[in-house]
Amino acid sequence: MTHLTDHDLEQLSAYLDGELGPSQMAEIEARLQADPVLQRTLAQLSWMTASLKSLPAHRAPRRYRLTPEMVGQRARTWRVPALRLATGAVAMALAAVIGLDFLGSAGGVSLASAPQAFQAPAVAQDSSRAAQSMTEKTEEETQPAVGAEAGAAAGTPFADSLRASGSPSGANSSLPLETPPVALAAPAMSATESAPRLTPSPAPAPLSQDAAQTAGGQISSRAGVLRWSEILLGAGLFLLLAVQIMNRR
Amino acid sequence: MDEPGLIEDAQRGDLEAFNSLILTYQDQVYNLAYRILGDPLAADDAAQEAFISAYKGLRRYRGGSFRSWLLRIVTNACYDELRRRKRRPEIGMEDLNPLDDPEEADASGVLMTDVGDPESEAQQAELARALEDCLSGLPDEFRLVAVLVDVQGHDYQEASQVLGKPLGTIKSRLARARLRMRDCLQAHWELLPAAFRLEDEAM
Repeated sequence: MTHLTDHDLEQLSAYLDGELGPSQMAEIEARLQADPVLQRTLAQLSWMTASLKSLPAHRAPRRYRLTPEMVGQRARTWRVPALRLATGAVAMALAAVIGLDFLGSAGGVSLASAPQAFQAPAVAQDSSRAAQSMTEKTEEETQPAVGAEAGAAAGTPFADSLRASGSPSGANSSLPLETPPVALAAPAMSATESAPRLTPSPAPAPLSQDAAQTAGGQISSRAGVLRWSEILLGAGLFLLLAVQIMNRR
Repeated sequence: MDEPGLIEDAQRGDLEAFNSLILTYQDQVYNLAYRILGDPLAADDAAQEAFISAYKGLRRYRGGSFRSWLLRIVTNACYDELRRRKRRPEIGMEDLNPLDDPEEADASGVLMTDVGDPESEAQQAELARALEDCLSGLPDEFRLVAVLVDVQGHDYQEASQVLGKPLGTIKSRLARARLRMRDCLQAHWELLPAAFRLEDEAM
């Protein structure tokens, strides 16, 4: 054989490195025994690879010691805990606000009933006004009867005044038990003076309405603040989590 | 050295653990970069860049030979440098070989293996220069395989992992690289042993 093909060279090169399978190795060894060109080429390659392996190694000119600045770790060392802390704080704040909101809605039974309780005197006031206009029309006719009733009421204890308040006029018929005693006491006190004053004094009723409006307004504004806080804190938490995920990448 | 433990620590962000790994492999990494690029400064930059890339990409390491993984990163860094050079060919590979200048060679951190008599030492240095010249004249894809297998002594499997090429490609590129090296060395016939000269005489 005088000419080596690419395949011959590949086989010879792999044989030199011990990278041939048993059958291929046996084949090339058989050819080597019979082919002087193949033998010489193997000798050349063998000498060359040995020479390349003995080339002097190059020592690293310095120690490649990485610092946090090189890998951008310093920024992370404070940024990651700061982000985690902020996320935790926002999550806790959100939980607290949700808790407050929940408590508000759970206590909303009493809170919600409060406006109704406050509205009751208002309703009572409306019916008392209607009753007042009726009593004014028949003031002279009914005066003795009312006076007698008032006189009877004047002598009764507080429970009796309650019964008196359940008079046909219906002025205080819808008053709940929570109605402030002041509102209840007013007719009883006025009843001792004169018949026209038997009707509930307008002073306590407007006070109750104002209180109802104020309390209702406070509740709705408080609920609004809570809702906005929940939205803002939720958005903040979402952003912080997104930043953390981005940071990890 | 508990290499798997150090790798795990480094993956958790322990820079000191990674620095211990660097200490183990820095000569191999630098040497490979130097052999591919033929320039000590470029090799230094490539090694540094490779270690930084390796640390930042440590999460992508999924076991196997850490050395192969690291050498693959430095090989890629060298490829990038070679591509940059091709875009801006300012300095030829042959101009960068510090072994051309004995003083520069001494300063480049060459680990001379054995010290014999001055004549033999000079001959060895000449041969080393000839080999390095021929090696640097090889096309990039052939040089990389020759450096990994013939200079650094990796087997085909590891060369395949480092270069991300199939075993068959490694085998054929290496054979071609060796053939070219052999032909190149004919220009330095005075340094060659009898086997080479015999061929000259035969031809």
